[in-house]
Amino acid sequence: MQRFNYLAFLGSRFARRAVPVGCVAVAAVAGTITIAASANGSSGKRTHKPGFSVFAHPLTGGAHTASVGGMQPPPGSVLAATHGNHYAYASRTGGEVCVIALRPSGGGAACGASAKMEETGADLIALPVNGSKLGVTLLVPNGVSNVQVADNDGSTRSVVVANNVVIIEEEELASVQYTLPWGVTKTIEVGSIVKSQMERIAAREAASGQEAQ
Amino acid sequence: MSVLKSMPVLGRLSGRLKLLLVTTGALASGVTALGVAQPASATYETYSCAACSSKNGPEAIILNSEATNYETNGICSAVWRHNADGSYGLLVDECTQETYKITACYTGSEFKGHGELEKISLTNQHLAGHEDNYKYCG
Repeated sequence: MQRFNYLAFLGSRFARRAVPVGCVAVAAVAGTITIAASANGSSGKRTHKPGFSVFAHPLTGGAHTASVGGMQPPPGSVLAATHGNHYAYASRTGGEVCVIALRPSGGGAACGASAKMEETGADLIALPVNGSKLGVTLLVPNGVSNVQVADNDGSTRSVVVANNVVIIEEEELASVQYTLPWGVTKTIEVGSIVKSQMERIAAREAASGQEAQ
Repeated sequence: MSVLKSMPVLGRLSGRLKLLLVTTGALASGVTALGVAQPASATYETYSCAACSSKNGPEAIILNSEATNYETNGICSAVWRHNADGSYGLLVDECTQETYKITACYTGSEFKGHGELEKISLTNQHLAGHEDNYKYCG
């Protein structure tokens, strides 16, 4: 029986070319696997798939697209949560994800690139103007089960996430905080944003009133 | 020669059927027009700044104000009404910290006023906005 001669093979012209190329290919594959493992968290903590399950499982049992004062969410939006007369929707179009809120006093939408929003979530802060309440609507990725709410007096409480969405309406809101499944904590500094905006608005309205006189 | 007779297929149909087809077409057009949430006199004004902290949009008949921060996340958008006495009243003001685009929508009837965009961060940034009177928010 003829046996394979390894020494002869390694010395051949083919082997002198093929072996280094093969080594580089193996190293490249190994490197890719290592980088992918690092990105997913080498400790294996990242077990949740990023994304928003609300698009597959929207809120049912109520009106899917409410019209508040004639204003509607964009076509394709899904109803995610309601809180009194505050309706929260999520939409995903053109590579963007949005969280949308409709209230009798006004509404809003905050949008970002889908990939980024799946990593961080989206926040929409409604300032207390024209008789409306301070409100925060959050769209958080899968795996975020609760949000920590801190008030200006230092008190804190936990709010449960449903359908990737949380609606908070509080006059003395200081911050909201949530921890993503891969260990990153996001803090929305609601109090400082509202304070600086309200100061600017007061100055602007005062100037507007003087101009009108 | 009538328009209907100029169409070979319609020309062979009876008068009553022609009327039915034309009426159906007119109704379908009307329903389609109603389905689009833009008013008959749609407003759509855009504005931007290369490096600023805030900017007002032009005066127009509006409902919504959208603002985009091209440099980083964090932006606010406001809707101002121009009152009869010449003063301005703030109707809606919405902010975001984690995204780069925000829209503020007024849920009442359209009015004369303008949108406004404003950054959250300390440095001036490349901002852009548009204002419209569409019935969709976002």
